[in-house]
Amino acid sequence: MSLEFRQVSKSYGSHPAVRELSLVVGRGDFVGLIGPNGAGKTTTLRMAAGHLAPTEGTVLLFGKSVMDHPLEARRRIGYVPEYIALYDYLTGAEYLEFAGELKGLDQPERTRDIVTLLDILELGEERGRLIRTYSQGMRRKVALAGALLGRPPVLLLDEALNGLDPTTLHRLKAFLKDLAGQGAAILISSHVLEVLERLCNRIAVMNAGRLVEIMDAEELERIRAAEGGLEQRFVTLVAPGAGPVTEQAATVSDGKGGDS
Amino acid sequence: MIAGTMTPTHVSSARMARTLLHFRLRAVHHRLRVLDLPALLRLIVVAGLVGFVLVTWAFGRMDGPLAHAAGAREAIRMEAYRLGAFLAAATGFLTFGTLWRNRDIEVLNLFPVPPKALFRYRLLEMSARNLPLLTVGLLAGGSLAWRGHPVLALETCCYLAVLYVTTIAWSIYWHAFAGNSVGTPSFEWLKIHLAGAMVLKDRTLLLYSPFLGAVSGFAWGLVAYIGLTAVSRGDLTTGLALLLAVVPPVLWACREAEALLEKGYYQALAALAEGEQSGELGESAPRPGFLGEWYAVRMPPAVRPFVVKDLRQAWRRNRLDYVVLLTSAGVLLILAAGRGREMLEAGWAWPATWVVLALAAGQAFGMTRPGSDAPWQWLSLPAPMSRHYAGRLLSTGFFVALVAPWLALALCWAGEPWERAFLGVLAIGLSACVTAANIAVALFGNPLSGRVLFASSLLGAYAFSGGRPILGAALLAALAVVTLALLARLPARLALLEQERRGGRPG
Repeated sequence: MSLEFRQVSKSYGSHPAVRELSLVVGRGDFVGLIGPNGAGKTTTLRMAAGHLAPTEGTVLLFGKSVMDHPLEARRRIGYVPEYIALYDYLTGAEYLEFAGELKGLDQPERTRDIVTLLDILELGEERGRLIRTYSQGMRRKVALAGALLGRPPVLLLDEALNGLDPTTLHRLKAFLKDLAGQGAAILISSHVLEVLERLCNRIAVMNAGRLVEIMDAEELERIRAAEGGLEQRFVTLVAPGAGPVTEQAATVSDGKGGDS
Repeated sequence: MIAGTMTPTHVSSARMARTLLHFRLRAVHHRLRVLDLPALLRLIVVAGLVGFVLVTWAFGRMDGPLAHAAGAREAIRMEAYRLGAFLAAATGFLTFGTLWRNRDIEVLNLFPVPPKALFRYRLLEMSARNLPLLTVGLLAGGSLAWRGHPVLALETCCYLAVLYVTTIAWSIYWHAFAGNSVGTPSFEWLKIHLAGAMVLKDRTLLLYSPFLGAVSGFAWGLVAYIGLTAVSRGDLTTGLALLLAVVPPVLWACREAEALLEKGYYQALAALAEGEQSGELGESAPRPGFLGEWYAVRMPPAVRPFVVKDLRQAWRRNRLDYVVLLTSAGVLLILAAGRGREMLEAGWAWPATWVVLALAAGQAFGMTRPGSDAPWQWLSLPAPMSRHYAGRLLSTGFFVALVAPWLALALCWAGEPWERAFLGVLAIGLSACVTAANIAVALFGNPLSGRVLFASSLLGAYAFSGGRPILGAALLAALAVVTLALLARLPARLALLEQERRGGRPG
């Protein structure tokens, strides 16, 4: 398994943010994480990235605890947090050089990747401008490029597609699908259900810190055919009284069917 | 590793530290290119003038009665010692921010930066960023040399430089230790909550680490100071032995800090992030009542909830500032009390000098921070006026007012009875004046002006109590006029807020 949440709970004082979450994101898996505000999506992603420690349970990355191997986790994870932090007084290109060097990429690969990502994210013309002059959307693009550099085997994207223009979004979706096709495990949270249902092969629904449903590709197809989209199902699932998903449902097979 | 992906090579810590430094310098280069020169020059001129006046007064005092009296050398050494206490306190506090509150932590936390590389980088950063604090020492040394005391000048500069190094080394050690203690049950017995503040017990040691850094740095600096004075008196063996005795503890502190960070830097960051998160989530949770909340009842309804919230949060947000402020004030007053009224008066000059110069130089050096806005923009940007902002300022002012009686009490410790009463009343009056001035300026001016005004009020205190009543009174009168003029506009601003509230417009 690339990424595994094993009975993970997280509380802030007396406030439970995530409760007994069990979820596996395997090779080639493209999992969408949806839920109302405060459902625990960001906390889940932050725990996966090793930025928060679970109160109970473990997050495993290729079988090793993320908290016990923080450096290893950061080598293998590309993470775009909800709130973007960048060096304002570097240009976009310099920031990506910086990110590439910190990731330990060799010069030829780094250059090739930066050129590709700048092209996909349509940042080529703006690469020489200081980041402080960028719009919010452009800042998000730079953060995405930084996370995608080196094509990490696990990608965590927290609302990372929000605010992107349609052309960039189209190109980026194709790139992410290609990446998943090559074996990357991707966990993405968003409130834009239409994007996720076209992009992901599984969708996990969270509500009040609990995983209440996991829909695989077949079920997603069925829901699309019967209901025209995820919206109605989502509203039903997050309604008061909806129950949590069983552990068995949460650990359905990998997208590619194997570990790395 | 997935097919088609690159394999990241493991980079050595030294190379990683060089990368961090290289891109930091790039950011500095970009910052210098987009300088707003007129605003920067204005800032330097204003700060330079105020600093020059303060330094002249401080050393003028030593040059006159002290320098020619018996034991003048000892008195000047005492001044260096007092300055060192402030330097250590400030360094201990600022290095904490560099390690655990740095703006670029969120950026670097995304990448596999080995803690060892980060330690080297942060050590360099701490040394560079706090250099403005040494400008006071250089000015002090320069002034002494200019007045014909080259040995004392050299002694002062050496002492302050050694103190700087020892404080940075011990600060980073204590900060690393405190960070590692978060989420670790093995240090539970050390987490004694003395402050009574709204801080999670788990993070208690973080509250004290700036103080511990300052005290331990200062203690080793003191050993060096004794060594230096021994050398200057001709006792080379004892002096050199004491000077060299400082080296092993500094190396030990650095090595241990590096080991502590390597062991648990990322875990500590995660634990600290959790504290921030729980603080945010806890806003709506029931909290105990806080001293001074009655004050909020008198505020207009539009502002009231924000004042209540900020009063409850003020200590939490400013706890380190107050710990450092009280520590510094305590050290100053204890030293002053032991040296009689002459030193007490001169003592006022040092914090004023330090505040103005450190802030001014700090603003100029602020350009080296790649994640923050250009500092000189503060000069031209008006402070945003909102209900939330008003509440924050009022609560901060309330805390400053809380500190005032303690300062007055401490002042009453020294001198003749009539002097005690005079100084006590003066301290309370000045603190009230400073509080009102800070609130007024921060409400209607901008942050930098507010700080300079604060320093000016301290200058007024010095001038007033140091035998220059006319100048002191003039400064205080000017301060009062500005404060009253600004506060006179407060009802109109509050009425505007109330109007906004009724009209449903955002504040």
